[in-house]
Amino acid sequence: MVEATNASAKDGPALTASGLELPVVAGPADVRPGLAERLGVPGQFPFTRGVRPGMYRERPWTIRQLAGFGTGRDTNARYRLLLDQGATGVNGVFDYPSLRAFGSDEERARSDVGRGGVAVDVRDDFDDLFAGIPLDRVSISLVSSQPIGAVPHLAMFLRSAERRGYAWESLSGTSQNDFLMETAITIAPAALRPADSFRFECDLAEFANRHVPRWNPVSVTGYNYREAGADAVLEMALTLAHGQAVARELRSRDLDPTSFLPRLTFFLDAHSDFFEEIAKFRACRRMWAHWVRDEFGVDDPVSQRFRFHVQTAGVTATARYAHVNIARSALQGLAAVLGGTQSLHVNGYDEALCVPTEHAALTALRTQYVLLHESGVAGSADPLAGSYLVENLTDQIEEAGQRLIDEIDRLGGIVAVTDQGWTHAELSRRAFEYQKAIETGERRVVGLNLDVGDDSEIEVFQLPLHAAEEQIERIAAVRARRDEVRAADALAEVADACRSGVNLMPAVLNAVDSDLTLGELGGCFRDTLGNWHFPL
Amino acid sequence: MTSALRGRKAVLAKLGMDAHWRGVMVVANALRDAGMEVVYIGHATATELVAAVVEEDPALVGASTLSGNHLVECGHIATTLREGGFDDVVLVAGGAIPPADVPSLRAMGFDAVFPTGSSLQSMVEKVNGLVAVREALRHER
Repeated sequence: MVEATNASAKDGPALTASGLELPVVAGPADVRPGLAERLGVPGQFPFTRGVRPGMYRERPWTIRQLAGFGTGRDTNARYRLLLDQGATGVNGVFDYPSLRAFGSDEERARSDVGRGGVAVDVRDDFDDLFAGIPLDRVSISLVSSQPIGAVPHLAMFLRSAERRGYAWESLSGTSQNDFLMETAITIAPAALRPADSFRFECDLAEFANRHVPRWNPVSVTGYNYREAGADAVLEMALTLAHGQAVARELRSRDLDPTSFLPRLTFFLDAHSDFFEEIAKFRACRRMWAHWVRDEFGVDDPVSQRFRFHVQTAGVTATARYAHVNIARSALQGLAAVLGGTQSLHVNGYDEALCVPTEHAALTALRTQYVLLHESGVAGSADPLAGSYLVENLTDQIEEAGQRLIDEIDRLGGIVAVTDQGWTHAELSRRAFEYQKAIETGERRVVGLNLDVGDDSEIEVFQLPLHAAEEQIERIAAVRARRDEVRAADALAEVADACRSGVNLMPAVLNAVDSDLTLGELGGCFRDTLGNWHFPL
Repeated sequence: MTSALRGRKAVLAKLGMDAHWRGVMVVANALRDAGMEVVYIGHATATELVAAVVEEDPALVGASTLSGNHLVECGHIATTLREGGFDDVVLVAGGAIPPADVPSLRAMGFDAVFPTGSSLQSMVEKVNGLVAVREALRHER
């Protein structure tokens, strides 16, 4: 049976999940002098208390539930269901081959077509995916995590939107577009080198800055760094170091910081350690604002704001007692809201088992309504400000995060340390430590090492299995209709752009106009720039 | 307790295009701690996995996937290994595998399956037992 206590209140765990010191009782002596300056007021430098003066009274967080599976038509139905039920944004994830710009018709890809996200191969797939959704009113997050996929995805999305009569200027949304996702956080049979992937990321950002002004061209995905093994401190350090690298690169391309900084966005994890997570969100805002002011000399408040999306921690979901994940996600979502997130995805309770069923997805959506409408926590901005404990943890995590950022800078910056395998080693070591802490019982998890009795099975999502076949047919149909000479010329132009170092987007848009497929473009990128082996 | 694994080789692979490496690296660390030499070959088709088995002569082959492609990809692997005559290698799979699919993988020829939530300790003990039995059979022949 279950032991009555975890650690007794008297002993108290001495450290937070990421190793910050946790006082048994926090008091005034635990908060450094100068708190008023470190806090400011919501909506003003250094934004510790939030990016808007009135926070959620001024604008509720966007309810942005992640969805994607099967074909464009399958996923469109799920988007519409979520929008009909009150979601206020679309958050579209792509399947494993599409993220990596592999074709659904390739041998390695076939068993993953439509899995973990929606399959896209040609521009027509984007027509299906967003059919009936008003692109000038609903913001669209393209979870095109890997720049090798993000560049062609955005080109296909822009051409599809154009065909429906939307001007680029009217489109609002986000490309996830994160080179660490391509080179360190997730793996694939083939990947670009970190420097090449980073260039793709910045090419997209530069192009969007010049031509799609309401588009957030990068969402630095700290969430996934955390899920791959980072603790809160490393998540924060990698996120900020990466954001800083993008900002420096865009400035070196002669873009005005006050035009691109307001469009850089971030994506963070809400993990289990409640107060540590709240501290992390608050500290990230403060650190980013300081960095923008101190390194870029930018005083424009809109440029100093660290805006972020949060997802509850998939890695904390257990397969046993899946319904208990509803409680976990609700607590994690609460931490995100108390930390001042701009948008939120709450995980389905079946996260550890499968893509969410409709029941799990709607339960997660309704959890957001409990937070927003029932709990009362949205009524007052940064409600935990001044808490001895939260301020203490916010200061601690800021210092620990800054030490790691300084180390990354000393080792040559985020692109270099990733190329050298430092990022992978740091993630891998922490992931192993996390698992060992669960196995020794140092970290208690219901369903893993605490209360592991009998379980009842839940309904598991059954993926429609027609996706691969339909995508292969669609690719064949597009190839049959296109002008092969024009397609070959367009592909050669893409290869030239890869080699010459000019911005890739114009050549890729032209390739989409010539009906080249995602897999053909990905193949061209990899063949031209070479394959990189993950240092794992 | 894990003596059968000491000094023996494990080949670990990812299947299809699954993108998650955390689990397989954690398992690699645990097997190394148990004394195994671990060769992680990254993503492999069934043919590539067999080539690695020929090259490395492992006692254990572990296939990792969290994308949901396990029924298809594990089927290819089991068939290809069997056709190649590699029946003295212990074959295991792990990842986001719904419990309902475990019997199917066992029927394909996987000696053990470790779904989400499996502990490292139980996994190491299980493969140790499997490798020990396989070794004993090998000596009898």
